[in-house]
Amino acid sequence: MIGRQTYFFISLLTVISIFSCRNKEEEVECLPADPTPYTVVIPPFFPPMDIPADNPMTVEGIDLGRFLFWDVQLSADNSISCGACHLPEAAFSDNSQFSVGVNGAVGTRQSMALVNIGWARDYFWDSRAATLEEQIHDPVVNPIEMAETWEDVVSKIEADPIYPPKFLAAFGSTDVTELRMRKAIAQFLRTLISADSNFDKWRRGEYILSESEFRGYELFLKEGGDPEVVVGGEFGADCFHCHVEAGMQFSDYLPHNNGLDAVFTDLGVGGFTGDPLQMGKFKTPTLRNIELSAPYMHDGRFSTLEAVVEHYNSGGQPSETIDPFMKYTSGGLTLSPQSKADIINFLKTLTDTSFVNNPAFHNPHE
Amino acid sequence: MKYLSLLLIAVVFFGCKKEENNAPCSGDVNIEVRATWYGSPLVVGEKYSNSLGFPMRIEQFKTYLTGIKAVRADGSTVKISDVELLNFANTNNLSLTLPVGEYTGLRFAVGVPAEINIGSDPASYPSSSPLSISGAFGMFWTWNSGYIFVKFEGKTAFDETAVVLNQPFAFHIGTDNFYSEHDFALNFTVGESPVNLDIVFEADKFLVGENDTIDLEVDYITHSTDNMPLAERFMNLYNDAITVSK
Repeated sequence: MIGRQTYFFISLLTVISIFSCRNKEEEVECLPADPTPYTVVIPPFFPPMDIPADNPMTVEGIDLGRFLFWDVQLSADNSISCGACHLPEAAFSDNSQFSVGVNGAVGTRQSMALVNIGWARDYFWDSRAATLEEQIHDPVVNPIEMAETWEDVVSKIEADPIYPPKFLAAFGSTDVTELRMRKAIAQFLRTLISADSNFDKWRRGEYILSESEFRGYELFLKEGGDPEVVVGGEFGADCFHCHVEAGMQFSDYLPHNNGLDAVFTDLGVGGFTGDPLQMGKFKTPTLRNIELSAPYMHDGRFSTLEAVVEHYNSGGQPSETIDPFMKYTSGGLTLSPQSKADIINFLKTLTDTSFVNNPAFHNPHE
Repeated sequence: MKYLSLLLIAVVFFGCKKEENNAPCSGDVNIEVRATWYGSPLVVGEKYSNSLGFPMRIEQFKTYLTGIKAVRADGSTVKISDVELLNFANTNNLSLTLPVGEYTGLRFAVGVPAEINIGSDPASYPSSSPLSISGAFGMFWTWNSGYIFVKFEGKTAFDETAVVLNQPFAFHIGTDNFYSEHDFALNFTVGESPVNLDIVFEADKFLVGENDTIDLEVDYITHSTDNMPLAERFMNLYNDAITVSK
């Protein structure tokens, strides 16, 4: 027998279902595509990934995004794709100090590594794009990168016979639009997940850090400097405040001035916002696969990890916007040669060759 | 399903029915959490003078408040919010409704209680939570150290006429030792007209209080564990600098 309460509940459900599917037209538009939902597998100790509600990931969307990411038709003279400056072997960065764009144009900022980028936010070195979908707009039209218009890209992609079935599969119609392309590329970028380094294995209990690697890890997490100079110094390297280990990200994704210069040639976030307190600040990059993504800093000024560690050891240049964690501009961190080597050995435990070698991320046009 | 149906029915029958009883059963309350500098609204990023006449600028001021509750006249409490991360670079308004009646106080704690501070993983919270990795936004560094309860940082110079401020100061307070509960007496009535309450942080008093003064030339940095004595001095001043009013 169906009780009164159950009956009431069923009636309620019926009402809800009637009202939620009253728009037949919408349903029809979405049906033919029927793309396969793709669920991001969250690696151990990682936080959930925020995926925009208007761009759910699908197998077909990721596939389309991968083809577009590697397509040279996104550039004015059909010479370079996104992947030309974000190479797998360089952790989806570029080992050149400055990537070369269309017609040999050279910029002033180093290509950023695309690693676990689905967890990041505020994209570009100057944090100017809030979402990946937004970020993807700029490199296409930037005169020193792909130097193309999105209108032209749409025409070229429309005319390429490999794409109509892919757009149909991913979005339900063969219409090629800038927004659909940005969404598909963003879906692909969210699959670029690196979570199988020796450090990950150590956290999972599958690897033992060497003595040097472990010492480096401890230095990474310790307050810097000589306690005689600043109370609380632990002779550490004080990396962890910005290269936050929480959530296995090794970045807080916030902009900081790490004391590279006293006078800024590149204004960083301040150049975009005009805020005097943001001058010379750049987004913290992740340290995952850092061994592979040389050179370092927003302008690629350091070609080795040794030079990077030496910069922090020196204390950096004081300025109005230097981060309070760069607290040893006079005197530096006084790390011993052994400590510096230990930190670098620790950083190398963040290298994940299965990530860079994953064929699912490589050029599908070859 | 049976319980759910019962719940739905309960909601329908016991929910406030305005048409039968004109008196509403809850009223609007707005709590503004704000910071001041010698009585004026604190503007993050603005240049001020400190008690020694030196120029200074507060560049970040954030704090966790947890277990925010209103105390009713009968001594019972009504939950307002479990956890709020307040960034004083923005305005912070908590808009809520409370059951009508007489109230005698506000309770909250600075910091995150021990049971969620260490041991719970911020990666386990959805990013909309102020306790999640992205929600904590610079208030959580590594998986075994817990949350930063208070972040108060900026720059100063030790010269009254200095134009360039490049001496950083940073008070980053965390660890269970500094979880501090506050119980403020404040009489207010929730009814038909909205109630406006203020929680005020008098930021000038973080450095200069009745019993202590922190000289930024000597004592300018603590991340708590590295300089516990200074963290303790700062938190004593900080806790004394919080007031509530209506």
